[in-house]
Amino acid sequence: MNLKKSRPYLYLLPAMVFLGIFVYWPILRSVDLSFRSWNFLTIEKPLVGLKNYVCLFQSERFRNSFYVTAVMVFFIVPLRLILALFLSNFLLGEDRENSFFRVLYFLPFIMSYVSVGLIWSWIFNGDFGILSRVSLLLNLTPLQWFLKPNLARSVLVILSIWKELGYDIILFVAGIQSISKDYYEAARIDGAGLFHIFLHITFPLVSPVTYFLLIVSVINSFQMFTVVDVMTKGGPGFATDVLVNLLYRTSFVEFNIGKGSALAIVLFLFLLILTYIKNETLGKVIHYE
Amino acid sequence: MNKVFLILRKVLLYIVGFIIVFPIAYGLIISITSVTSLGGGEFILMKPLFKNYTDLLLKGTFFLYIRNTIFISSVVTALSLLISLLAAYPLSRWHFKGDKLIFTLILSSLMIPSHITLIPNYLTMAKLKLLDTYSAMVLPFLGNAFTLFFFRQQMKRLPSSLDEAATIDGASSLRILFQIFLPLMQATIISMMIFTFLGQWNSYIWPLIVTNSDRIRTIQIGLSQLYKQEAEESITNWPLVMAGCFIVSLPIIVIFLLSQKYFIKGITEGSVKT
Repeated sequence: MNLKKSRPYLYLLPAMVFLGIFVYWPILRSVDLSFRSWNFLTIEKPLVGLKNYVCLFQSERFRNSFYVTAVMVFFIVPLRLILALFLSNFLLGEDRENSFFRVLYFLPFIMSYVSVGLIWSWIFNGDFGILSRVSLLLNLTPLQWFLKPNLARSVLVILSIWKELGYDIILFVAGIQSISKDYYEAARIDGAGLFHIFLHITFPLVSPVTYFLLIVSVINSFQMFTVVDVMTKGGPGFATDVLVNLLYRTSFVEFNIGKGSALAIVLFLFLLILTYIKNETLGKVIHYE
Repeated sequence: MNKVFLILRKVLLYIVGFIIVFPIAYGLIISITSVTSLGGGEFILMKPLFKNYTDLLLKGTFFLYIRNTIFISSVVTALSLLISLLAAYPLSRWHFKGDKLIFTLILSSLMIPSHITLIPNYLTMAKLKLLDTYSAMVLPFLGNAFTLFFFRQQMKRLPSSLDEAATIDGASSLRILFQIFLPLMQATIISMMIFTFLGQWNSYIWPLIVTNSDRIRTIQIGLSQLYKQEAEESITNWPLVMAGCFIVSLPIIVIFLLSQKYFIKGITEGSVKT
């Protein structure tokens, strides 16, 4: 009888042990470390109160990182969603052509950010990249993409959209396909045009998917790192010094563990608040069937 | 009107398709050219054609990195799936003290950005003297809330008459899980397998932090190091770097093309209400 009672916990034990050590405990540990001053080397980790947070908010570099990340998220997310939703409408059927395009559009998503980052670095290479060559052929001055702040940021924005678009499309297509055919039937009988059908049926009824993608893409874009590390290293200057890049440099290059942890906590809370606000506001506008 | 629309649609899909495929195809073509051709503006194909690939795989440490990555990704995939299956079973079938709390805890961990765990997990590995070992690359990923959640949802959908009949026949719960549930959940298991494997294959920041030696290092780090080395040379060997990109990506692309049905099912199941 006793064994029977403890059985569910035995099944759950391995999962909870690993989640506990590597997911839950690190959150508490991060909170603790964020109140301390430490550089990996000393034995003592003196408590410094809110100093790390104050330092962080006062530092020009943090504010810059926040701004840079927010600007990129601001461009990436809406463009991704609008493009994907638009294209999904043309990819609805289950015939061969549609699945061919959906698979094609999905290819960049499965490749790693390191490889696509390097491929794009080469394409946008100021001296020998194909864009520079085409510019020369057209008698234009080649752009030095990675030397101008706005251009470097644009490359990262375009790359992110290019890479993630296929994922959004797959979800939108599934979402639109699950809308009952009766709505479309009725609209057609009433003589509604394509645009009206989209505006009054597809768009409101696919909104749970839009909402899901909005949250996921904001959270993911705010954590952009690999592609920055591979392509720009945060440069030129600090033009692409995104939050996680700052987190990585502060913690594992400058070994300022306290400040790095404070940054991790701030990032965590920020994403949490963002999710919460969206739950409160958008949740009411969303149409569930 | 309808015909014009259909043509426009096709044109649009092909233009977008071109934009999507162009960088990949261009990189692939460059990967079989030789470096001397780049400054001059004309393409000179490598002789033999795949020399960049064979150079990377035979001469350097790339082969070792691939072996490491395959090993680590496989171990993580197998163990984390097993652990998730075990944990999903009681959450889908039994009522017990704290079941709701545990499930909420698991769900909430999906909202935690992975970067917050970097420093503490690094410290844990340092304390256990596991930095730069396979264990450091495997252990943090064995508890996977994402697959656990998926499995639990899938098991909930299986009719309870299944296990009731088996229990009457005297089957233990482990047998029910592995001999009755497992075969019925094939599609979900395959899609979770692909996801976990892909996530490990493409992972970057964690191996960047915890690996130091070629013995442990994984392929994404190897690729970024290859680029770093080449960027310091007077002439960057871009074709070689491109070949590296495709050595890293082609296995994944092949796996995806072979299993896209499961892949897409896995993606859509999690988010679209059916």
